[in-house]
Amino acid sequence: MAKQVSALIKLQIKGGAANPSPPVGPALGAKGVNIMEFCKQFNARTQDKPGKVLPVVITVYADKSFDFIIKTPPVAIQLMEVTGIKSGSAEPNRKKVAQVSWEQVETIAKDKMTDLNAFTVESAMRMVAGTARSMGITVSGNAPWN
Amino acid sequence: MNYFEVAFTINSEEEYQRDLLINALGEAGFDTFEETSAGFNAYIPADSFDENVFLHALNTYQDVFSFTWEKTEVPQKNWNEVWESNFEPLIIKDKCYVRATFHEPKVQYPLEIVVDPKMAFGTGHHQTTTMMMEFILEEDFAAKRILDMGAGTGILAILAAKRGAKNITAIDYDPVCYDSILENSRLNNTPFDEVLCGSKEIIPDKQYDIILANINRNILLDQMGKYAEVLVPGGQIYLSGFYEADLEILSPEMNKLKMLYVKHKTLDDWCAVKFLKQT
Repeated sequence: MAKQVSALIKLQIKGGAANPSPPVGPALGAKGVNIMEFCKQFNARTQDKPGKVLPVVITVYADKSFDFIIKTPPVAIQLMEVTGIKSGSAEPNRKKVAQVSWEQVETIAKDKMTDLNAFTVESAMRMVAGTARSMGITVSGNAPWN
Repeated sequence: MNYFEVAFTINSEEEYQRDLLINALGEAGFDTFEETSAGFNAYIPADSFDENVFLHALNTYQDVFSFTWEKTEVPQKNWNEVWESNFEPLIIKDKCYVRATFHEPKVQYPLEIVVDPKMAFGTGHHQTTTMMMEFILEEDFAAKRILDMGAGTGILAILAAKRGAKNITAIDYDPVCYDSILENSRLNNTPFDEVLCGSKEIIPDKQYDIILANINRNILLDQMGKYAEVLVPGGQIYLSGFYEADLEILSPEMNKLKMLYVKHKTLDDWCAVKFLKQT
């Protein structure tokens, strides 16, 4: 039988930098989870990405055990790194701030596929391209499926 | 240490805007973020907060989308209290009984350790602590000079003392752990020569027969050069706090410093390893 879930906690923590202070301390502590054990595991699993802000979803069970999934950096951050822009456009429809290729969209899509709940690379690419457009980033050329 | 919590309300449907803001605040020194229904909360140690850096980070986004924020101070507290009040005593290798102050002693075990962990690491429950304690129970510690780096609750140094170690230095960079080491060494009647708060820079200029370090891979890689300097030829060094796969990275670096692999243990992918310094 599946274990009963008592809480789902969504955080973003810098790689290798989890510590028992807020919000990790209060969020996990209130559920009776051993905070130090979470920190030790999170830091060991993210030691190759020091300083990068990583989304993490922690599931706490009724018996006070827990597990967690570490996601790769959000799509918007990856687009920002690829294009070198600092923020999205205030008027994404009229004012374009950068351009990416479909190859770049595909690289990000493949990296984020599991996190995006996408079943195919194409559907993940559509989601990444959607985020790009709403940030005012043009995707150049024709989509591979056109 | 007190923390600042800055609660952000984002007036936008676009999730990516939250991510961009979080990323910018991460660069401005905030270390953790919690997603909320209105936006997110961002956290930073109060003494690292710089108003100008903070406002500058927000500036880039002020024109792009609309958000509001409110800053409050969160006082330091023992968040681990609930877990501690339920923690189960532990028996290691049938020899060592680890309990909290509120548990009854058990006289049938030759060694007993009492820990009051608060927010320090090390109750013996974590796989890495268990394996390090097993090493201390298996090996000869009588009359040895010990350095315990990243001591946490001090549990490894306390066990070393109970196994006959004579001169002990325990170091942790976290002030919470520093207090915890002092408190637990008193509780167990195992006084140490030195308890220091800091990193590798404050390791005393002495020679040690045994070094214990249960930290993590990156910090061990950074500090092992210093360990090599204070470890006597023929001295033992025990490392943990990393996964078995990381041993391939750590081992060659230790070899370069003339500290040679002897053996290791694993438990649920976690690893503890013994090295010997060449004579």
